[in-house]
Amino acid sequence: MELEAEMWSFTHSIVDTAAGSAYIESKTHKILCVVSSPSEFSELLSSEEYQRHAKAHLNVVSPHSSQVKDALSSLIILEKYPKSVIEVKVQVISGDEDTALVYIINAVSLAVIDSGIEIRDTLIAVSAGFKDGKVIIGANQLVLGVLVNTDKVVLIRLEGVVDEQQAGMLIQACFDTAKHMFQMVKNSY
Amino acid sequence: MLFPGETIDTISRSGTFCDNGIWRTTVLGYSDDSGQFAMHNKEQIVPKIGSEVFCRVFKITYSMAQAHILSVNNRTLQSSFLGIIRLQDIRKHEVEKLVMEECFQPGDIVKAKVISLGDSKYFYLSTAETEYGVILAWSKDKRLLPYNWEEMIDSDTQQTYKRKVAKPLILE
Repeated sequence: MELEAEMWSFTHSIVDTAAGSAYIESKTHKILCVVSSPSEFSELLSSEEYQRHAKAHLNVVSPHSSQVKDALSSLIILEKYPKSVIEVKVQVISGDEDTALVYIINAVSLAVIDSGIEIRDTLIAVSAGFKDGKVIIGANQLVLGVLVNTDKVVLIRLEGVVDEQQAGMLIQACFDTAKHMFQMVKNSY
Repeated sequence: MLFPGETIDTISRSGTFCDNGIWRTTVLGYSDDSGQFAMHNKEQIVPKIGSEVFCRVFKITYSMAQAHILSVNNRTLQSSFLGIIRLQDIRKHEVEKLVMEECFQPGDIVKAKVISLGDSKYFYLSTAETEYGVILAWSKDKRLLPYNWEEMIDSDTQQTYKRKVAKPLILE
């Protein structure tokens, strides 16, 4: 197992006015995430009204947003916040959007932890891939979102084709790296 | 510092979650002196059944008063939620004689209890105890003071106004 890309560093509570926020910086990407307090869910806006309002904002719906939403739906204990909306806003300040998912998930996870919204476990995302037959962490073939204490997966994205043994090696490498990253986050909080 | 998902021995009221019989933390925190789990950040709160809320009435009809819920269990909310006090939930006795204008007026600050999560828009609130009801009210920009359980008084003009008044707390 080799680390191709340097790992990431983070700052939490960077935005005072938000319930929770986190900034992640790596050699290739800079990501900012802001999380709101649970607030009222207003069903008054119909989908047509949403589209009218959306024109006023620079709102680009990205393929990453649905994956973030799915990961968070399993992560946040939603039963504790009935009838509420939790807004998660992510800004990719710099970096290639296609390879940003790993950093986006980590920024979102740290921002949600910073906000005090109750979650089942700490989520760390890791990417891995095969280069010249070796597993390289940081290569963008498999992206895995790991719950580090309960050993569960809330996000998985694989590009290309791997056989069963290769998939097992990638997943195991991601799990090990996620736990290592978790210790790094714990130590520097 | 304990992170979310870590196992803890002692069960604490908030910030913990039972996952298949194992108690885990759900937020950042630490073990304090007595071994209890203490949260590092402020808890994020939403109104729950049984919560005591302070709300500001903004609209009344003959059958209900609509209010913005401002705080839950003495913690201010970042953004308000909508609540409704139905006529039958204002007080327990002689409900059929109730008139909404004699209980609440728009602008009143009311202490109430959440009795139901309600529908998609409103929480259902109740003031059917002596300690619930109007805390603050104004008439012509002058603050009214509690007079008795059904009246508030303007201290300058001595004029009384009908409200469902909350019993004031006597501080020892």
